[in-house]
Amino acid sequence: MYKDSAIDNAVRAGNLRSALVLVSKKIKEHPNSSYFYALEAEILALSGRRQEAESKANLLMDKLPSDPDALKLLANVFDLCEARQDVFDKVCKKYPSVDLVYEYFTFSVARGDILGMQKASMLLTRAVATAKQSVDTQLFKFWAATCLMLACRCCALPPSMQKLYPQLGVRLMEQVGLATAQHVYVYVCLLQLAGRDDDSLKFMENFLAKENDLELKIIYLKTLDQMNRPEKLFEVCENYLIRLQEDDWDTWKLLIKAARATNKIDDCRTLISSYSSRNTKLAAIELDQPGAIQEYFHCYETKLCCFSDLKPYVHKGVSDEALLKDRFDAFMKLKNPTLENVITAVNLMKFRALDARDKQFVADCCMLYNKTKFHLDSLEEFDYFPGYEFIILAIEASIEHLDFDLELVYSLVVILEEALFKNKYEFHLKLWLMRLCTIANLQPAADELYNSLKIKFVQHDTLSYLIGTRRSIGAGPLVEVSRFYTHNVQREVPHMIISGFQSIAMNKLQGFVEFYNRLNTSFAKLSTAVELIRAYRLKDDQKSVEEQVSVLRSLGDQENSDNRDFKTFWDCGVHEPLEEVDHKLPQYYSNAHLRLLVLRELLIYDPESRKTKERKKELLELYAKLQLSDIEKWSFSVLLQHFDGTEPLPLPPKPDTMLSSKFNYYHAVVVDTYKQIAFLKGNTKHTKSILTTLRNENREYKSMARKQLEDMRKKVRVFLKNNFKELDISDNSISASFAKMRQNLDSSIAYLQGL
Amino acid sequence: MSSIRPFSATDLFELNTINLDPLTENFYLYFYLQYLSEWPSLFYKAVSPSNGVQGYMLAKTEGKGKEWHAHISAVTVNPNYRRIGLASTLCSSLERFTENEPYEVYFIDLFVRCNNKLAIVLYEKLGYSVYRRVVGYYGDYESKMNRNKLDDEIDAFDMRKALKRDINRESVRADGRKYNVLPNEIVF
Repeated sequence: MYKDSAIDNAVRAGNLRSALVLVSKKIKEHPNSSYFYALEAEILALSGRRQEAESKANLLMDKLPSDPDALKLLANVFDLCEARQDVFDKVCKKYPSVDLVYEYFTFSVARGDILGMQKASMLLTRAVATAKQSVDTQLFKFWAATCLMLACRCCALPPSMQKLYPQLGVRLMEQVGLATAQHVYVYVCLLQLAGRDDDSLKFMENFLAKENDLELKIIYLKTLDQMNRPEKLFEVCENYLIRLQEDDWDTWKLLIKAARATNKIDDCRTLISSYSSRNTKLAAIELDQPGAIQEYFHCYETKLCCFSDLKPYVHKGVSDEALLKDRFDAFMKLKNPTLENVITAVNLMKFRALDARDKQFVADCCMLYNKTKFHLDSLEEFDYFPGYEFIILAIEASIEHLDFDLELVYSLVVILEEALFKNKYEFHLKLWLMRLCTIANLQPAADELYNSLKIKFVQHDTLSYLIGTRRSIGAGPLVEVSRFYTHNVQREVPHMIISGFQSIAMNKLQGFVEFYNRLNTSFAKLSTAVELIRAYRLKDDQKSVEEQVSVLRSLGDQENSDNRDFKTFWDCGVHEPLEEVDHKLPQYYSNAHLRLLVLRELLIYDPESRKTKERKKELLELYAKLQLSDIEKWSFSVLLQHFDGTEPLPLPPKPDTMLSSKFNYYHAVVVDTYKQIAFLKGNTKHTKSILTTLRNENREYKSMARKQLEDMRKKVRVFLKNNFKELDISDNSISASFAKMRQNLDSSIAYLQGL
Repeated sequence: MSSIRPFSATDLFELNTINLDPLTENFYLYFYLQYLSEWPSLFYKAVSPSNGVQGYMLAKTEGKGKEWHAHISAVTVNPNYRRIGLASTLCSSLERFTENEPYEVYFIDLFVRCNNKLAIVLYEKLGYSVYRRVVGYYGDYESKMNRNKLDDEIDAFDMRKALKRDINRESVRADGRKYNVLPNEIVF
């Protein structure tokens, strides 16, 4: 948002020529205002006239303008020109007023720039010392010490700085004092960075004697452990576990470790048996006490944590243990198992899944689901039904031992929809269904599931990959995903980092800045931009394409942060990714694949960049190295023909079934390749003729797709009877599921026909 | 196995196993960050040895004089770790953190939907009791205006537990279910 609304509107509308005329007028009206000179440079940079912009920005910088808004514009100009400069640093050294240096600090926060924050906060300590305003000088010293700590922990500093900063920080903290846990935290961290672990222990011990601070307690225990003080560690752990009754697993683990190092195993056993809890039962297992696993199982077999807790301690062949077999037999004799019995059975099947997931296992899971699903009829809304895990276990096992073809995919879609019918909030079932829908050509169904999970805010960053990889049906929920970064991250996080400093929540600041930087360089942010560029390019929406390109450019040379959550998808069944299953499922983008796509877009839309030559080289290397699909290879070969005149690959044949998302993707890529070359003003004759052939054929697609789906329905009916007969899914359910699929497939095909 | 650890902003990337649950709210980023910033020691998590988040507590302090108290804004547990006392552990940790320095509150309170019987029983077991009914707390504007129109679906119980600083137990009462207030009457 610029200070002048007319210029702002012109830039937003993409009318940069008009904006330049307006800014020239403003310069004439206000010849001494550095702001409008900086604005002129920015608009020049946005127009692609980067050399001119950079030279104007440099001229202005030579005058050391002290208007913070002008400096922010200049910083952006240098970024756009790929010639980053710390403009505030230069100016603040000349004019170190409190207001300007504070602006430097907030500007550095907004960029997630810890070194900038560190420099600004040190300058602030000096500025406030000579300021006429009444300011809390101690507070700014505390900020500076904290920033020194953050710089040491998060930045690659030269060894001299790595040595100097903690010492400087310690000295500052000694002036500030140790009034609260936050002060002690920063002081202790700096002491440890300065290699003074012994001193840090003393301060923590003194503070923890009067205040039970969780963060300091953890550092204290960790330091005792690292410094190999087992006697003291044992004593301190005992205090927390027994006197203060803090039943904490990590503390139990440290107690056991200290006991082993000091020959106090018997004392340790006595402490463990002094009270009964889940952690103490597990601590007994950790100590190899005879019968401890059985004891735990007796207490927790009806709890869902049982499997995850025992998994690290069980061996191969656990499912043959008499105890588990007896429990299973007892369960099978129950006519109406309770929900607790169902959990026991779920746990038993999970242990069995560790050993073998064969055809019989699938049959047993299906049988158990059928035996227990009557509970779904009596559950209140939002109640939890643990038996859904039988379905997940059966699906995983069937993918493992059957051919992963469309018959299996569509059959599993039917099974999952049936399971969700009476358990509509079960999110693991939904995640699996989403994944399968994006393999089948049912992207609209996947989008609907995504929306039904009410995924919001940071969840977009971790989960949008489920619907955003090789997307070939419009932008859909990705528009909302993209807005998260511009609206929520940019507007909320920097403000809260400042708030963290003001509230002196110093032990949270590293997390704040890491969180912010991980979102700014997020894999999902980039992959969403890449997918949106294709979606908008296919619709000839150049303005929206440009917006997304600026997202790619803004990352610069920084590495992306992959925040995608693959854990939750596998956080059921045996609670880990199954390699045998995962490798059969189509993969999501890898880092290298995403980089290849980003490079393609930057080569198309950012040809003025100084890095164009390097980008081409990198793209060629990745193109040669990566395993791309045939249609992707073809697309890149056409682009490379434009750049280098190399011969493109022949167009691969169309996928023969419309029931796979590869069909839509094939078409989207062909049309998109044509549009890339058209934008580059290259020779489109060859691609255009391919396009014309495709468009002539696509009139029949809808009826063809319906016919293929109807054939699939018949196959699925037989397939389910042969492979999942214990689930007893009725023909009516199958038909209802396929009726829904038909609508979604129609939507996918309609999109394709509109290209 | 569960350990109590301070919550960090980056843990927000790890909450899907909990927050995809339909009953757990996903808040704006600033909401979580504000709690971390204002009450850094009252936002913590229970984790597995592999650092998987099993549950978390989001709490704050507010009020003046004898109304100075801790408020549980959210306490939630991954479905795989329910019914093993983890919510109780999270709640009792809050008592330890707030009844002594630096907070030294008189009591802890929380709001629970009147029809959420399971949760009410859990809190009663932990020593909480109903202090008053907040009529229309979860409802629309209109339902927040009429103190006589009781509805378990949208009314909340304000439940409290007195801590050691409240020597005379003035912050709790035995017949709290008889007291009805409107949301706008709750001011600290």
